[in-house]
Amino acid sequence: MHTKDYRDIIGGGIIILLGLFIAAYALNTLAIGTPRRMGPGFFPIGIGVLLVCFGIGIAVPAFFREGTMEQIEWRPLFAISASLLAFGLCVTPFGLVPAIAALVAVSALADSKLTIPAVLGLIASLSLICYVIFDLGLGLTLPMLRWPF
Amino acid sequence: MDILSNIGLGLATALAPVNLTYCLLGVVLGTVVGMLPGLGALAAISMLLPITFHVEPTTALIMLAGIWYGTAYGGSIASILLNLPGSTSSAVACLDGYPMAQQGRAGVALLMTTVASFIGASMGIVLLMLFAPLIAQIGLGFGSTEYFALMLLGLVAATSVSDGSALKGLAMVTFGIAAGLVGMDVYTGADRYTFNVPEMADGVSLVGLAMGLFGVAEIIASVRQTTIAEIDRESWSLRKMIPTRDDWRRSWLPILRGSSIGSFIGTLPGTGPAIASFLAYAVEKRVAKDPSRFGKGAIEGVVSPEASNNAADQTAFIPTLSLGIPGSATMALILAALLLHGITPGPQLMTQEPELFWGLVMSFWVGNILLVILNAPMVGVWIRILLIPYRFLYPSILVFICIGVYTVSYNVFEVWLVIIFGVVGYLLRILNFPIAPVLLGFVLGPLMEEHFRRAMLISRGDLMTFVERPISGTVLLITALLLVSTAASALLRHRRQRLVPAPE
Amino acid sequence: MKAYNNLRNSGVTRRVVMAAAIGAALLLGAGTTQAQDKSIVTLVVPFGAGGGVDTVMRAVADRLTPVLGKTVLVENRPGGSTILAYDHVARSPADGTVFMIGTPSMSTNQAFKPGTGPGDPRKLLAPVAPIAEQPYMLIAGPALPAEVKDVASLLKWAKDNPDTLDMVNSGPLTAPRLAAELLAFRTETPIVTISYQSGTAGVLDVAGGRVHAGFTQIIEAMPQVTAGNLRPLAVSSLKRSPVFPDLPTVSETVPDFDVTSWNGMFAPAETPKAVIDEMNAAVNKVLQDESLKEMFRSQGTVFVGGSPEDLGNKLDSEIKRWEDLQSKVKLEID
Repeated sequence: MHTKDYRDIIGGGIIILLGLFIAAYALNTLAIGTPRRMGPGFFPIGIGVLLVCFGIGIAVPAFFREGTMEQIEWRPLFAISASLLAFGLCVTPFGLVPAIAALVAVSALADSKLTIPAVLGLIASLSLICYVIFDLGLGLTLPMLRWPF
Repeated sequence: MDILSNIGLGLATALAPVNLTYCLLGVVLGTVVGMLPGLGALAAISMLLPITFHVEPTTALIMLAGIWYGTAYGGSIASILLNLPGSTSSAVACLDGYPMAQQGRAGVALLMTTVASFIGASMGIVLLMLFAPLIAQIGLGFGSTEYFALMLLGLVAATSVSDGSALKGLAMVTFGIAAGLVGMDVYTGADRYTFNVPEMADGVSLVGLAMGLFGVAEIIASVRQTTIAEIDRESWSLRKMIPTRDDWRRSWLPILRGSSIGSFIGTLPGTGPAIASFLAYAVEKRVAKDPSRFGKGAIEGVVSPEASNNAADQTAFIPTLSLGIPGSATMALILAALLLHGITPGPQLMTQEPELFWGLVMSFWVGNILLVILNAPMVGVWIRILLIPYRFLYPSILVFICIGVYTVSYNVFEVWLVIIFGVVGYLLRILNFPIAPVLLGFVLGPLMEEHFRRAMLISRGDLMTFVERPISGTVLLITALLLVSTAASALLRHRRQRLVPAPE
Repeated sequence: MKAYNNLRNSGVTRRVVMAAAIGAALLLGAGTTQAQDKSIVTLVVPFGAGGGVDTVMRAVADRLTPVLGKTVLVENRPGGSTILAYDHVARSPADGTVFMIGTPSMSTNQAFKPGTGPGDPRKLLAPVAPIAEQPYMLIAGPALPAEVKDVASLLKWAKDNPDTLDMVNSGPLTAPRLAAELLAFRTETPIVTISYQSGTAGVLDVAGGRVHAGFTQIIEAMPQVTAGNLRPLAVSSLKRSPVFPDLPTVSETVPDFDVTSWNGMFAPAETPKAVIDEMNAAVNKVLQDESLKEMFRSQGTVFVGGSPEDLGNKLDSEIKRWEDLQSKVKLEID
């Protein structure tokens, strides 16, 4: 229990910043236009202002009440993001199987329960399943393995 | 020709062995594709389009259509079991379907969605059979003014989708609209929020956004919570899978309401099943005696949206076939399949190509019956997915998400989008923001802007156009009444709470 | 180690290991067949599968394969109003394995948004062969009085009722939008252009009587034309369409007016001339195919064919025309 509801203060704050950014971007780079022929910036400015209002509405009352906040689980956050990154980096140059291998190996770091043999088994079975579904079944033109050299 | 002989002709066509085979193939493929996160009907149909070069047009269309409505059946499976929408239109099924699964009622949820899907689809088909030309004519009367009014009504009605703070729900709808701003402006071609990334010119893709916010964020949040897969062994016994009398009693009206909403939304080009399911959910929550049950495993919140999106899937054929106006990218592909065979859709299609039209419509019945026969016994198999330890499940889901989004345009950029929205979605969860309204804002926002600006352009900047035109005027009046009644009931509740101290 | 033992006891492990063995064997086999192959030619289409251009090009690619003796595969790279496909091909090896289909967007992007994309297509790509052309159809809906029967009466009506004529189009940087702007500029007629996400959405508004007229793809307008909700006024090409010989052209009223939806094949700039000539000959041979012509006749598609220079000149003259228009009227395009 915190003395203030920091969760909503942070949440509201982020919404306010996002709204400010959207409105500022629109004001600086997009034409506003006229009510008759509205420019590309008309609607975004409205959205930005709305976000700021909602953000204030969320954050301000939170200063006057107690609250709790969940802890961010950094390890799964980083491991899962990194595993998708690994897939994205591998799939075009090397093909699907290396990408699957990279994804599974990195994502296993999110949680310590997967052992190395289990990871290898998972890579192999997922590769097989994907080969059957996507290559044989749906006929995707997605190479399983590719030599970039 | 009267309707009975048409039905006879249609049945003869739909039940021909070749057509039946292709129909089965289509619905099975649709179910699988719908179940796999990220991969949707659009991808499957575009991959299979070349097949239509080699078979009869009716047969080809029967199969492609089977994929289209089959995905709606498959999509809810992943939503209910894994809190991960298999397709965007089934995102709503997560809201109450997943809590049901956590309570050990996954079997009931799956069985009831199958029933709801069938009833919804049936209602859509009946409308298609009886009133296609009439409905198409009504659709012709809907312009930007009317669309804008309708979308506004949708947004106002849907503010109740989120539970918890209404302000947070509104902030998330607006956040969704903001995400929808990205890309090339429809009227001037100006790049907005693209930061010179050419891929951003087409905007954020719905698939990438949904898979990140729902799929990846869910995985990040639950990887370390081992309790997730530990479900009471009792719940896979056959007895626990059969819906109780109470389930049926609660479900039949929502199914009918959902079907009606979906049937209507489906006929409007450009709206689609995702909006239909959101609206159905919003309506259920509004008419419910006890709205607080929603989001905690209320069966009404599962069956109504599912009935709705299946009904919309069927009635979406009305503008496509009888106006030649495809309502979505997927429908455009189906239209392309017709055109490839030199068949021009339009009001005269029903009379000029009765075999094709009625054969296709009758194949919808056949296909939906096949889907029920396939899906109902499979429920026992699907819920066993829950038995797979999560440590094996989550890398597999990630792989399917990645392949699904990658194959949207064979561009790795989609994977980057999923990462960004995965992280954003996780932070939103930590900060206790509801996620479903983001999707709604994302789908409705760009449409609202487009139609509002077009209506103003056509009316030369006169706001009165929204009130003067009869359809939009009426819809806006309903919206206003809805706002007033919401405010009034909130006030009333507030006063009652002050009189009677709430049991804490 | 404890976790490992737990795993061993579960049936999952056994199945996983078995699948692994089978999978590894299968994948080795599959992998080797996927190696890059010089006998495969990739034809990049800048739109998604199933669109108008895509279906035409798939039919062409199908017929190119036996003529060339190489497998011609269509690859869809949609997005960024064709810029993503263009960017990909401009950076592809110039060895005759990659070609792309160019569209009017190539000239409109260059003329109106010169900063985006990899650069001037006249420098980064080599023209190979013109393939197809489709005129746009100028349609009028129930919002216009019956006396509007042709281009001249449409223009007269617009001048009699200033600031009234609205015309639909399929996007701010598309040929239908620019055709309307060009018409307005050449005839000094006030026209308000209204953009849509797709051509069909615009057709719906014209047929519903909310917008007066517009240039649309023939295939998009035909259902409503046959239903009697729309009346065709003209086609946008220089010559009349062989499919609608009775329909006049805009150029019969506005001399030299010629805006079409064209497709031509391009290769990366450094592609050897021999390769380009070989492909040009093959394309021209395929375009003689009667079944191909018949297949797309109802859409108003005309298979033109010609030399690489013809295509180069076409692109060059289009870019110059749009640059000229932009310098004179300053369209609202950022």
